[in-house]
Amino acid sequence: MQESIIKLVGISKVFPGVVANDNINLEIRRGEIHAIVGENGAGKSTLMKIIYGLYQPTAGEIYINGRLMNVANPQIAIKNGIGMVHQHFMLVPSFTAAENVVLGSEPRKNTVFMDFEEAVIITKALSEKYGLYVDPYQKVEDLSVGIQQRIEILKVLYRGADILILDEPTAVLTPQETQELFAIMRRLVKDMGKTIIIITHKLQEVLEVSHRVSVMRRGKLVGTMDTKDATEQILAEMMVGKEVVFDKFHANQNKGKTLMEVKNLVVRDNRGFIAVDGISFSVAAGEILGVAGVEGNGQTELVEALTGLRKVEEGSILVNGKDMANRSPSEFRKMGISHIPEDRLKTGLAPEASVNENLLMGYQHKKPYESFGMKLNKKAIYQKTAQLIKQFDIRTPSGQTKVKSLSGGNMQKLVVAREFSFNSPILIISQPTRGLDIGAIEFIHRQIIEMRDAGRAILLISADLDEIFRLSDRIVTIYEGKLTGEFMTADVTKQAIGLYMTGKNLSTAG
Amino acid sequence: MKKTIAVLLILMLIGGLVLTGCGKTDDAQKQQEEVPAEPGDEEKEPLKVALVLSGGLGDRSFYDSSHEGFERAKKELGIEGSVLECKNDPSLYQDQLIQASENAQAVVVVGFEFFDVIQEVAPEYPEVNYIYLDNVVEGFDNITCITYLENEGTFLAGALAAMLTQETSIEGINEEKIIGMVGGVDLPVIRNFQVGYEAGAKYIDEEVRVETIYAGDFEDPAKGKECALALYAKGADIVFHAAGKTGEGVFEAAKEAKAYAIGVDTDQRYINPDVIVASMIKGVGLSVFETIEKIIDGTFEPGKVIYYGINEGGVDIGYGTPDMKQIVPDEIKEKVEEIKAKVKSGEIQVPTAK
Amino acid sequence: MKKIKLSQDLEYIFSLALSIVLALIIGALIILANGKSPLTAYASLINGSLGSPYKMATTLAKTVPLILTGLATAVAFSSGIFNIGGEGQLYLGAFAAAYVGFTFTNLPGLIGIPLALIFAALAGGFYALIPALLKVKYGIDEVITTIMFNSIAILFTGYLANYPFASSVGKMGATEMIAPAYKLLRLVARSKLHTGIFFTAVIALAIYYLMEKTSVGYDFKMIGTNLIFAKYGGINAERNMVIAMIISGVLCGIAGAFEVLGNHYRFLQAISPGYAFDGMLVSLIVKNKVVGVILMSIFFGILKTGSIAMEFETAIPSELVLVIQAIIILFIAGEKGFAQILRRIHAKEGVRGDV
Repeated sequence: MQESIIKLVGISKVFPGVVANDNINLEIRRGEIHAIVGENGAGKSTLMKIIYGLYQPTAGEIYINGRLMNVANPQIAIKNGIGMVHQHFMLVPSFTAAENVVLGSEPRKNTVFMDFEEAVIITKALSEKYGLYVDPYQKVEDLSVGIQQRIEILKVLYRGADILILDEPTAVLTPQETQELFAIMRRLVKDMGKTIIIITHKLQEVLEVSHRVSVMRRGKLVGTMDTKDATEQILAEMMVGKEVVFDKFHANQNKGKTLMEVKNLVVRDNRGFIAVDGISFSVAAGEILGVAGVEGNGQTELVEALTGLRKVEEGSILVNGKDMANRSPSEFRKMGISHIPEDRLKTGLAPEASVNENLLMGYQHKKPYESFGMKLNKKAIYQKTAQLIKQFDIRTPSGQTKVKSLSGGNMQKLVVAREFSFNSPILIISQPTRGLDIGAIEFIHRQIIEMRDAGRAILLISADLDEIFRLSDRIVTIYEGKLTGEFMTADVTKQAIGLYMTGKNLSTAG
Repeated sequence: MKKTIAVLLILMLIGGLVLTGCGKTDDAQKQQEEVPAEPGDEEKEPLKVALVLSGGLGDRSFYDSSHEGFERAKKELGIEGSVLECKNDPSLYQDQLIQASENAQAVVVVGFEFFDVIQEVAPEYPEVNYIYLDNVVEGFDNITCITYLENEGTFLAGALAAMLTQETSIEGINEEKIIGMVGGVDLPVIRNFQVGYEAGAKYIDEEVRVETIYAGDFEDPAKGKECALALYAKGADIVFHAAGKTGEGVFEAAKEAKAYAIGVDTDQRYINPDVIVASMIKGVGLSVFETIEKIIDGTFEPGKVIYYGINEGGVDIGYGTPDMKQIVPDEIKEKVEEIKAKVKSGEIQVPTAK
Repeated sequence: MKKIKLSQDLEYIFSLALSIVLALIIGALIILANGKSPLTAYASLINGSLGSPYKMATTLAKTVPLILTGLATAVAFSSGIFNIGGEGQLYLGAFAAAYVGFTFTNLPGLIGIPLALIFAALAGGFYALIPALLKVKYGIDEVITTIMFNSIAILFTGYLANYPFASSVGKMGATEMIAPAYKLLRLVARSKLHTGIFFTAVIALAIYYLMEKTSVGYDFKMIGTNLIFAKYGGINAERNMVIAMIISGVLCGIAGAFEVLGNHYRFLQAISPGYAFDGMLVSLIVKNKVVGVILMSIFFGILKTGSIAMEFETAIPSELVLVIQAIIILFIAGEKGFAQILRRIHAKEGVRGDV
């Protein structure tokens, strides 16, 4: 238990203009679950990428199993038993789950051709062994984010990693799935002698699953301690350097009139199957309606239908009494609906474009940003973007910086800044804090509550039950495209919601 | 995804460019090796001649044929000269012609495509003699045109094909009285080939059907092959081509279909004597050589239009070298000679394309 | 610590320059392998393309169609719609301009030339509109349709030039000559450089303004960089793609018109040696940036004109420049690699300054 499997001595990593890691000394012991926590941009991911060979440290030494190693590339890391599950998935969308699992070391037929059958068998065996169910035949592009992550984990396990680095593994999992993952992690450590490094923001998870925890802040390692000596409060303070309040927000004071009403909505998914199966609900001004559900139960399609991005088969979406079903996204926007999408990189942003360009979306045809029907007014635009960058604390070198080089938290702040700045009466918010650090979560949560208090009607879709409970005034549960229950937040427990989310009360909820 | 496709497409395109580039480079180098500056007459300044081609060398047909005459003139007449190819790029016609005019006393201009350009350039260089092949420009003192009565030659080819398609005793000749032709591009010159060919066939037998397909390209053997295969599939057993390099595909197709082909411009039998029964020879090389010869010995009369038909030995039928196995029976050859004599004497009037 | 921040554009320009230099070096090696002097060859290439007013004019004349088709590609590609049909649009535009030129022979140039250009633009734009509509209405891949449309246009105009509108003189697969009033003024004796180059400059400026300074250009670019994001943000992607495609077609049509009005004075059956494809290469090399298209077109023009002189003077085949162009493109495809090397160098320098 005390033997060190990875030892980092004086690791520093400097990017042009940024010190990402500053003289880090860290020891990972064999057979432990070691949590690394820290705000986004604290340097956790960079540090892990150095261990995994994706980055070269600018200074310092890495010892693996006591030997000084030059981890020049991931192949070397893999050979030394290190596997990594990335926060942004590294899957090939057009390949099936099984193909992705074995990608890079495919089973071969006659040494040349990939043995697809064997890949499927391997994948099935792996997913049974570790309790991570995937359909080996499905294409990754058709799968939800949650399932994609399972494939990532399976992939690492398939390569026989001894040391697993999990970058935000639970961000997309449901509570039940998280518990299952933790069970797997414990089993891997206890029964199979593996070592796990987990990067996370969720402090309860740290306390629940890890043996030791290291906290990073602004590129430095603040400290490492045994988890049994830690509390949420202590860790949070180490992370953000200030006291964080984890209170629930006050409930809404004055609910206004209904702004959006959805009736018997039916929507198909990309494969043509019914994904949203006759859903009805309404949202009023000044309230947050939380949609709780396990990832992949129709939330994605529901949100897309409600924002004009997906075709509606049946039913209506009444906004101020007007049916908006099958209208274009721009018409939805004109009706005063803003949307924070679940996948910021795919939908919410143009990663290759600049911060300014991303903030401009939606303003480009409005005065004073545009004149004479097409001329863009630089001055007005820059004023607006500078103000948004400041107001929403988007940390970027400049407005010209490409969005892809920002951290996840700052990307999300950018999306929130833009969408909230329209002052739309209706906000559809999907997974607003996935993969973000405590500071950013807190910031975004406060923004959402502020919007509610300003009288906006908010639909909140989140896989994070804590988030749903913390923000929502009312909660509906979704399971296999149907709503299975509706509750006032004050009157219900997480356990009860968890059951409705998994469909167990479907018959009684009717 | 789309971008990847686009990039791939581009790369394929480039690949193609590189490949064709390399191929042509080889040819050009060969040409170069074959052209060691032959020391001319010591006493006389050698005449400087430039050969400007609208297409490129290596077609084993029209351009190569003109180049042969040019090379012969170099060897036998001791002229100095260089070849300028435009590779069918219309933006180069004027550049190359000016380049040639700057550096030569006589410029042989090969390709009907130079019609406008030569009229623009020639007046700028009044001291240069232009010999313009394959088209007619009138009213310029320093432009001499050589035009070929292709229709007379193809008349013979058509007659030959029409007779041969009825010789069912020859292996590969079917019962049907169908013969084919692959044209390069649907152009007046090529239509002139077609008209003569059809007339020759009808002269032998009204019932013989002539099927013609235009490949739309002078440089693409793959298209030529497709066209010829289509003709053979229709029942044609002999296919004539007037398609430059594209015609090489016709020979390929003939081999594949176990049928026959007739070559064009030069005696092409050597390319594959098993399927190429004969060639309609256009005396391009001869006319180039003869004209240069006239300039040198001072009998040249500039500003004229010279016609090369059967009479002038400008067009003919060739059966390859004697060592080749002859597929065309002697009776047919004799008959062709008879027809040739009738055309010469004016007894047969070969129609011209409009 | 000294802050080293290299903008990504600068990084790109650097790797592009590196690619060009490397390609020229490889070209030099090929020349050397053929037993010739690379210095002499390149000297004659430069002299042949820039050595006199006539040569410079010839080089510039070559850039006109490249710039126009390059811009056409830039507009379409950066809007996420892939117009591979520039060649067909160019042919139709060229024919339309010629048609006006040999039909309305009584018009003065001041009316006739704009009319011919408008017809050419309409022809090109309309011909681009069809595949664009097929794409947005029925999801038919525009890459495939535009490629096929090329053949249709080239063969159709070939038919027109050979049969209904065939020239009465000089059997050659061309239409009648346009009336003298339509002929664009030539700027330098013997060269084909014509006043169309000024018009091209104006168009380039307009496209630059459109793409960089207007909300239309912004919409285009957002669609091109992330279609889902653009739709999500309320941009009418379908309509904008169609507009971008029309602009692209119009530019190709005008490129064709200039070939007729300024260069050949009639429509020729094979009027373009593949200008649209060259323009596409030009635009892709510079990542569809307007300024880049202009500079790269001039570079390509130099290579093309210079290579002819080089071939004549040193007997090095002009195809060498095709090899050089191909190598540049191969390197550009590996541009990410260069950029990475560059970043690494800078990262190391950063450390040295820091530690």
